[in-house]
Amino acid sequence: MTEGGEKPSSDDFDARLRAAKTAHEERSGRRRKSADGSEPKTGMEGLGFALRVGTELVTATAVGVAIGFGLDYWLGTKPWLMILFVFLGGGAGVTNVYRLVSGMDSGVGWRRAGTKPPKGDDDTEYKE
Amino acid sequence: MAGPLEQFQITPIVDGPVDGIAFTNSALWMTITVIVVTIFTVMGMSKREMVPGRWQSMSEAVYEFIGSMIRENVGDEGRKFFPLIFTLFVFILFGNLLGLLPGSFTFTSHIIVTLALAVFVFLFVTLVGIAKHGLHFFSFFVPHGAPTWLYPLMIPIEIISYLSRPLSLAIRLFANMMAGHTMLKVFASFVFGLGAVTAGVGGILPITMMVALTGFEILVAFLQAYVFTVLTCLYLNDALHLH
Repeated sequence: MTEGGEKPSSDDFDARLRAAKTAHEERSGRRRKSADGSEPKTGMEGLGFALRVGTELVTATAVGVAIGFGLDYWLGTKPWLMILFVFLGGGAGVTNVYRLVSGMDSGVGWRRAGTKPPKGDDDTEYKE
Repeated sequence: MAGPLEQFQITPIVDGPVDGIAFTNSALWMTITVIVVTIFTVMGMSKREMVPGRWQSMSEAVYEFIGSMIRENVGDEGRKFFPLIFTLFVFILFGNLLGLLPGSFTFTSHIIVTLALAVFVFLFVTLVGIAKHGLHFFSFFVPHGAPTWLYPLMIPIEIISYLSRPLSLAIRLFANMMAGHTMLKVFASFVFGLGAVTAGVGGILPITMMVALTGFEILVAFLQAYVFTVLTCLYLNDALHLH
């Protein structure tokens, strides 16, 4: 882009972009509102969040089952590893949901989502 | 009248040389998406005005949106991945939006497409992590602060959780797009059904609902493209900065 500082309305634009982005993050459930729990979520947004939680549970369990089934097929230990991995997958699903609900996003380790990596320089303009 | 699921039918347009390989409507709309995106960015930036016009502001807004997304979620090291993240975002976004045009085809409503994208992201991010940290990358699966006797339980859970990433990434995008488009079609059939019985009066209510739903679908199109890319950024951040 051209020299950012010279645009007459660039500050205004940045502010609006940031506001829109915050709204985006709130909608996608990444940045939870203040702790009082009274989130002005509409039905649709709540539904979207609930769907995400469901997806996390189901996919992790499905991956667990697939791994168990694959290992059984390979090692010839028919039902046992699958039974074990159903539970492990379920555990992974619950872990994912815990991370999602407590603001850390799915499977991004035990750090809060959106927290900055060690060296973050906030206000420098993004350039190549 | 066409059923609500017929819009997802894949139909070959040009048959390929081998049986089972063809240029389908899905491929056609991917091609259209790529062309539209190219026109959008290349033509938008062709004037390079100091004070951008409408078109130039739009492409700059997308550019800066992705730029700041990477800066906030990945940090400085993420800059070299800008082309990948940008491409992913605009491809999914324009695919979603073009799919809302009447008579078009939404390729993001097919799980094979979203899964291919997600698996690519997953493999890429994993390879980046291994290239940067070597075997140390696998310490990622060892949870901090857990007692050692829990490791046999925690490490498989962490690995399954890691492997479920591409699947949940794919299912989220595909399910949202497919559910939205099915819902639109179902409400559209109500317009005919109710309208025919009540001499057109009864059709007003579902049409109102459809207007609202179409707006909501545009929101979902943006939101899902955003979610897909922001999660890619978070995964990339994980791979680059192990914790």
